Amino acid sequence: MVQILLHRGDEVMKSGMPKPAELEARTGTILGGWLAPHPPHLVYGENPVQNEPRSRGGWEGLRWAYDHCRLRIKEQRPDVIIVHSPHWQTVVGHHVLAVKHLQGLSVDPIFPHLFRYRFNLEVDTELAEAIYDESRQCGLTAKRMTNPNFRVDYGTIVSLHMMNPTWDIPVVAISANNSPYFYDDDIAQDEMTRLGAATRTAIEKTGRRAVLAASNTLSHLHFSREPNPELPEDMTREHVYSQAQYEWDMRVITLMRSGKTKELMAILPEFMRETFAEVKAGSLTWMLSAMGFPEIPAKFYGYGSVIGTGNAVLEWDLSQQAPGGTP
Amino acid sequence: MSFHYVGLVPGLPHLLAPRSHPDSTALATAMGRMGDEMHAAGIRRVLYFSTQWISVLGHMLQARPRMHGMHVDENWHDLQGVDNIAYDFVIDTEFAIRLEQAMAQADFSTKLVDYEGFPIDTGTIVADRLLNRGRFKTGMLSCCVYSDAAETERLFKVVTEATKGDAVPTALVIVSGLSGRYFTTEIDPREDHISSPSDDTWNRRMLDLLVRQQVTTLDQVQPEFASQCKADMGFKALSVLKGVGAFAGDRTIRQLAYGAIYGTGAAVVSIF
Ligand SMILES: [Fe+2]
Repeated sequence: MVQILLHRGDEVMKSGMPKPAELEARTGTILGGWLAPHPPHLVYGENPVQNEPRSRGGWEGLRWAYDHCRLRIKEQRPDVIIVHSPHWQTVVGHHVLAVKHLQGLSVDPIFPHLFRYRFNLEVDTELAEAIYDESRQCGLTAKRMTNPNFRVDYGTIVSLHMMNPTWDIPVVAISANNSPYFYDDDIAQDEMTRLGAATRTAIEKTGRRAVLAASNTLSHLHFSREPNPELPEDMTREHVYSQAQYEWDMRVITLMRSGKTKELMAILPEFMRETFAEVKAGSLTWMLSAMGFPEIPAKFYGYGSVIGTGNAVLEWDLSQQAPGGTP
Repeated sequence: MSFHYVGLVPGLPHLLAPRSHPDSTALATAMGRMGDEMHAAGIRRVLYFSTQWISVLGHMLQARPRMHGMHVDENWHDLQGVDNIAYDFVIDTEFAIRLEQAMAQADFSTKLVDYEGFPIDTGTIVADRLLNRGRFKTGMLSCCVYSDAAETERLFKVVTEATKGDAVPTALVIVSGLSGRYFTTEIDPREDHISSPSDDTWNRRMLDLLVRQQVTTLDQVQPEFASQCKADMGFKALSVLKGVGAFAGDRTIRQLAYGAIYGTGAAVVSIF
């Protein structure tokens, strides 16, 4: 049985609620969700063959936190990983990658000296189409991205690479509509809540076993210059941007670790204002909404600064939810 | 002013879409004419400053000698006729290095970028397609989101100073829109218009002040224009124009076109 905690956007959700017979036919499940930050430094520090620049390492605390995710994904063998990325910004609606196969060179426009990655990925287009359909059903503006020459953004690639570097599981990527920056926080959060609900319905209807990824950094104030341009991985120069920003991150992570999702959602707007948190782009809200805003403790695997920003890797393991509560 | 010509142009891909809307057609035609005018005036190099090439760790300058390929916009990837936009830039690398050195000496954080596959922004590509047509060498300078009005003006004073005495006549092209209130849903391109009447009034007022070179008033109203109309990058273009000395009194500012692109305001303005 599907147990859904409805928040803002309830009215729209109700109209899209499945009938009992439809529920019977569904087998799709969200296995879990990850806060999966995407500083390109993480891929750079790892030196995978796909990435051209070479490094001496760096940011191990965060990179090794992703080992837990890699292990879980190998155990769970999901059908698909779905990522919502702030670096695919769209102004007209929520876009979904809907091309079976995409490959090319993705260069980070901010850190091109660190990230020049040859990507080659398989998209679960049936699920992508379903997310598109359900989003429109929810009253959202949505678009399918069907251009085979599309260059996938570095946020999507970094999160997916760090979660599953073998790329042997199909993916779906969803753009970050810029409504959080165009409208006020309430409208934006409502959009992302509805997008999350649409994503969940699509997963259920297509019978997928899915893992979700919110590709978000937490606090986002950062140094105005690279501390050591000669050696970007100089860890003697890496630190939190400010004590205030660090304390905000810890406050947010504490709420995540203790499963206080309602409280977390309540303080997110203030967190965004105080630390320019990247969660403003909506990825975390989308993911938590898709999972029914689960009041379960998230598992914490690591925290680290990247040019001063705060990044954490956490897992919401829905297989640990109480019976009846698994979406 | 050491730039021989300064242009302010929009940079949305609709400008390249055939017969999308009379406004887009008029804006694109004006940009083509601007390119012809620049060429006739002896311009041989164009420096682009696009609000769509954003940087956060200081300013970047494109330094790869040649950049060509096919561009797909992250939002307008399915726009009819312009879903794939071919581009071909010949970059004046020495010019980029010279600007970078001048900026670094003036204590700006700078970076030269020379990488295969570096994502050139849609605005620069659209502007170049309409203006250049293989006639000008190019340069590209990024728009640092943290540079405020004063710092942007100072930056362009430095850039202008660095081009003084240059043997190659150079134009600066600012790629920026005016009001930035996009339609957030799909529209029929034939029904495009400025999405808010008040934005339209504001755009016209700003253009009128520009043409009449009322820089004091422009300075006063710019913050309100920026916040009321979600102006593109807070209408940083004004600080650029001040930095290059566009209001020094020896130039003519002309509005060549004005119209809507997907609800936003766009204008083609020449300073010559
Ligand atoms: Fe980011």
